[in-house]
Amino acid sequence: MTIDQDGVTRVLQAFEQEKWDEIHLVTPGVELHLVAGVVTPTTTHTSHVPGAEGADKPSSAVVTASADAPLNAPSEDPESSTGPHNVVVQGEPIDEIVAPSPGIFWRSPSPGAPPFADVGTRIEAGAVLFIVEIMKLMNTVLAPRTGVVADVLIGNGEQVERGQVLLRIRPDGA
Amino acid sequence: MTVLNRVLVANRGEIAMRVIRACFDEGITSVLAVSEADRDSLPARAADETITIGPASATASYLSVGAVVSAALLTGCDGLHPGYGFLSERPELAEACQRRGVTFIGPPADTIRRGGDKIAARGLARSLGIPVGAGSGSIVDAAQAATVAAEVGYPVLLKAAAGGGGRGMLRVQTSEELPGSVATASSEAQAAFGDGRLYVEHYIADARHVEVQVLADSHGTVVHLGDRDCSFQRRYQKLVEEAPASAVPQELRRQIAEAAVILISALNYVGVGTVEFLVDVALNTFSFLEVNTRVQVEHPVTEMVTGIDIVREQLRVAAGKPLSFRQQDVRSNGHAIEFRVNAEAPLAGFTPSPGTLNVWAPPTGAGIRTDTHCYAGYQVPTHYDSLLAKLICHGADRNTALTLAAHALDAFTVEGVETTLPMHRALIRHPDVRDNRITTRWVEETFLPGWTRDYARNQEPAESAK
Repeated sequence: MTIDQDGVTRVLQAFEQEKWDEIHLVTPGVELHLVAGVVTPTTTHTSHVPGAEGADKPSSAVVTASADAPLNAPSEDPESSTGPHNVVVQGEPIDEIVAPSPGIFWRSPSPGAPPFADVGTRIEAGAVLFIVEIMKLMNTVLAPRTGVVADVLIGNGEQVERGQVLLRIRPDGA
Repeated sequence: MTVLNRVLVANRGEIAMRVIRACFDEGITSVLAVSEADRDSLPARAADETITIGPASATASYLSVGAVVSAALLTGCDGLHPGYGFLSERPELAEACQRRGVTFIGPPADTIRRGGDKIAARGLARSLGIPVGAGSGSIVDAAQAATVAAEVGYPVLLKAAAGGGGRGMLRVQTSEELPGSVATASSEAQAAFGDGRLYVEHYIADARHVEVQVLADSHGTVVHLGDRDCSFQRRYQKLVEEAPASAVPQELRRQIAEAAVILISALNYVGVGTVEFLVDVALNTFSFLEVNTRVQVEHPVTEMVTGIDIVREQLRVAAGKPLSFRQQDVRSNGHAIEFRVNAEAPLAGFTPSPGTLNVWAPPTGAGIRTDTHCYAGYQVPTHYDSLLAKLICHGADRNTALTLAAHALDAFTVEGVETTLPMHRALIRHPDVRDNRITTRWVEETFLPGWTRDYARNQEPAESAK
């Protein structure tokens, strides 16, 4: 991997001049994470990734060896997920809204827009609650009945499994 | 002269494989930009080097100008290939590359802007004397849309100025439907492209989608590699493509190719591009649709009949070299047909079907080409589009190609996810396909209703067809 100080310098310069918000690059030798207005991180680790020792030693303060990055990857094993929850919770009058398919959870119609449903939002039956995106197809999930959102159990843009509980709604009259 | 020694491949899937292969053939080092979901992908293994540019979500990785340009800078790349989709037709990417001293492998930003904006491109085509479908420039509101629609006559198509892939596109049958459709199409276009501008076009009932592959170098040479017929569509998404467009009369094809070269020349084009047209089957006329300023999914059918490697030529002209052939060197041999094998359940409304490919066995043999990033054991991620592979079959003539394709489709074995293969197996045997009596509505209005009805009647038509 040809990563030298020049490459890091070029990126730092571009990041400032192009006014990019955030970049996070990982190569076998170098990890570079830049956030606008923030200088992070400020330490240089000694890498224990095989082969990384041979890479050019980064001297910039914003460069870290990427020893930990691959290990932090989320488990892809479907067996490790908690699996589908029951839709009806014993003794508690609450609607649990589940993901119709695996995919990405989107709480708002577009980036930056207010969420369809937040904790405390009053939702009419048939109103849009959230979108699960699977292979570029947007599946809109609607409220089964009128109520108030009690919980949003997952963050925007996170991966969900089929049947995973994403939202809890306390129906009217409960 | 620009030099290309190291190219950042800013894409994924089968097109990443394709670009990596072309880099290899041109003696260029390939560096693949991958999201966290694609670190173990086949192209990641095939590339000379890889760099992780962000999370699985495309917005923060494959769709981030900063992520891909900074990846090129960090890895010392002198060129960036955007593939298709994602950022490939964003002038902002071409501009950022230029500012940072990285060669963008595609046309200049200004050309992308003028060619990619559908309304501007229609205006340019009209000024060059190229037929353009009856319709409007940008419409400001439903009232103006109604005026235009009344002029050109219903049904009409509403289309997004920044559009592509059928998003923001709606067919409107009557004036009553129009206001609601304008609102829907505009908000869909706004969500998809950040640009809600629409235009109105007359709807041609029996149309074929015919497009011309064009290449242009920086020495002023513009050539075309002939046409493709992409009339097999569902919801404006192509399913099957052929080269050449042999059902269209020869003289009309000549005029279409000529129009494509005139338009591309007027755009000061450098790179590969496609000019799309609609052919009105009843009237035997054509009209300009749009310009695609990138390599297209269906480019292999043209490669099969011409023997010209379009992606290698793309790399050559980006490096400032002249095209390796002239117009008079281009010969079209035989017929090629491409099938998009998608991870979708065609009998269940084409719902996406991610999962693990327990069995993956594409066919092989003379005249058969499979462009893919899949392998047995591959986990099809949920984050990206559903294209698994393109099966391309080439024969001495159309019937030979169709026969070969029928056998190749039967031999293509996939287990673990639903695919569009059973649909293709039925489609290729349909008499309308043999007779080449296809319009852009055929898949949705003729083929799919019949096939799903037959399937309901007979539990295993795909198996019995074997």
